[in-house]
Amino acid sequence: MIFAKPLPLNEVERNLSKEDKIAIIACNGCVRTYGVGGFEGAKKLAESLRKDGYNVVKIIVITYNCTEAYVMRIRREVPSDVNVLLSLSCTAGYSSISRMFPNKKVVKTTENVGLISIEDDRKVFEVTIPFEKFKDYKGKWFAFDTLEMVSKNNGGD
Amino acid sequence: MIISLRSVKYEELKKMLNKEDKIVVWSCDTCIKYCGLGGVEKAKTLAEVLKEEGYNVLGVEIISESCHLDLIRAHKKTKKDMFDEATAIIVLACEDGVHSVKNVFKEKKIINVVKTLGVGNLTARGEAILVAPFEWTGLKESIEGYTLNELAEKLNLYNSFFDEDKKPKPKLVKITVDGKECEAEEGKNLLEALLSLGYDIPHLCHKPGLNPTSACRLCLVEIEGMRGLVPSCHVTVKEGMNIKVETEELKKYRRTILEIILAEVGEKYIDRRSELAMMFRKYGVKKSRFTLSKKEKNVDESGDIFIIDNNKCVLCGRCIRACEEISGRGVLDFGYRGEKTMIISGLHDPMEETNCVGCMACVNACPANALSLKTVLFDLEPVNK
Repeated sequence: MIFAKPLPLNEVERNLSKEDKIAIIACNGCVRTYGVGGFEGAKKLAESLRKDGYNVVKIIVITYNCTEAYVMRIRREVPSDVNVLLSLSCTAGYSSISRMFPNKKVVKTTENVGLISIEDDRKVFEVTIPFEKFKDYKGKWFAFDTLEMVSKNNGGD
Repeated sequence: MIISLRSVKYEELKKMLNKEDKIVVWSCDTCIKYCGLGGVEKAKTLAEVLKEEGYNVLGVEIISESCHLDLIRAHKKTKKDMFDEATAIIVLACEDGVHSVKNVFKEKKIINVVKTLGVGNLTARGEAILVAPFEWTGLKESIEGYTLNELAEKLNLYNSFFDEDKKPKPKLVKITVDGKECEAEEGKNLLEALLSLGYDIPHLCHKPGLNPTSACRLCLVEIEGMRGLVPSCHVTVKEGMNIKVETEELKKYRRTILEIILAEVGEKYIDRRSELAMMFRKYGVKKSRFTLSKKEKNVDESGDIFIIDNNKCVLCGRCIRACEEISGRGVLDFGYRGEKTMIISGLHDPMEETNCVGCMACVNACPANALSLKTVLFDLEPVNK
């Protein structure tokens, strides 16, 4: 499983204009597990952007944005006047959405931290193979939803 | 999905093992399968090759996703005897999965055979591509992605499974099918053997990798010396078997069963993209001679990822077995009796209240799309400026 954490809102907004008509395409896979994606994550992102005056008009949630067959199913669901798609998934989801919607501007809303091993029952995960920028996260445990670091005693064998 | 390539040659793998090892071949059924290095068939192949060379392979264990520690623990508990005896586990999973297996089986020799390169996509053609490589690969992020062949060449890794040509030739025995002499692999599931010989036998409850239950009765055949009609999914190939698969009686039985299923489910609940609908088309079943009073059944939309629509369900039990055997969670089961029988989660709790981890083993197993992925479409009013 991959851990992608949300980019700061101002970084996302830097790529948007108030005239844009925006749809959020959220992934129901990895990013939903720890509370970044899925419908709840998309709703939070939409609310924050709308509060700042950005015109988010649609939320679409599909399982596994990294699988083209699933992304293809929602091609007709994106209104033609929407010009910006916010990808609420890891880079893999961002890439497949970019390929499926070549005429729309696709904007990232997360950055990849690395691969994770998760404990569903205790709602914690360990970063096992991080990307270079997050190399200090290796072996560290985090809580679902808050994404705050927890001590190893609270998670793992 | 996570992209990995094989980093170890078969000869190198053998050096990591010794003949005293008691080996389990462990495989994920997701990302690594799409990278061509895992899944039921690959794991079985590796087990067979090793056995042929005299290694002591205790078994093959398939798990939906090895990155869930709780699922690994569930598999360890379910197959306690096998894992207690095992000394070595060959893990066909990404390095993240290998790390997780190591975490649970601390006392065992855990053998990793892959290098994990980053995250990627499964294209519409079913091809795995890498789009976000780890920095050590020296590759840049790419929307178009890198194919596995390209990566294998660039990174000096292998884009193929372990020396598949080394797979031992199965012991073939002679069987007779509808009066024609054929050769089939001894001990193989008879339904699978007949399908691979080109015989067209309908089946619903059978799925390779799951234990057979003979629930749907569609794969009935006649076998000389055996009483009545026999579900071929529950029989293994033996020398000299004399089987009838295409008699008028069998055709009539199969058609009747298909018509009963059609009556039970009801035309309006047949998902035209499902394996079930394809089967009705293939066997020309458009109408049923039977009329059954259909009561609306429970639809559980409470889960985040998938919907269980019991109106579409044919009660084949594949989802239940996948949840038990591949996921290891055992969230799903049959509930109630008679015409009220349906798929329930937990003690008929809403899916969102169960401990389902969303591994999708059940959804992938369903032939009727009674379990289907959830797509949420939510419109918002334009922002007033």
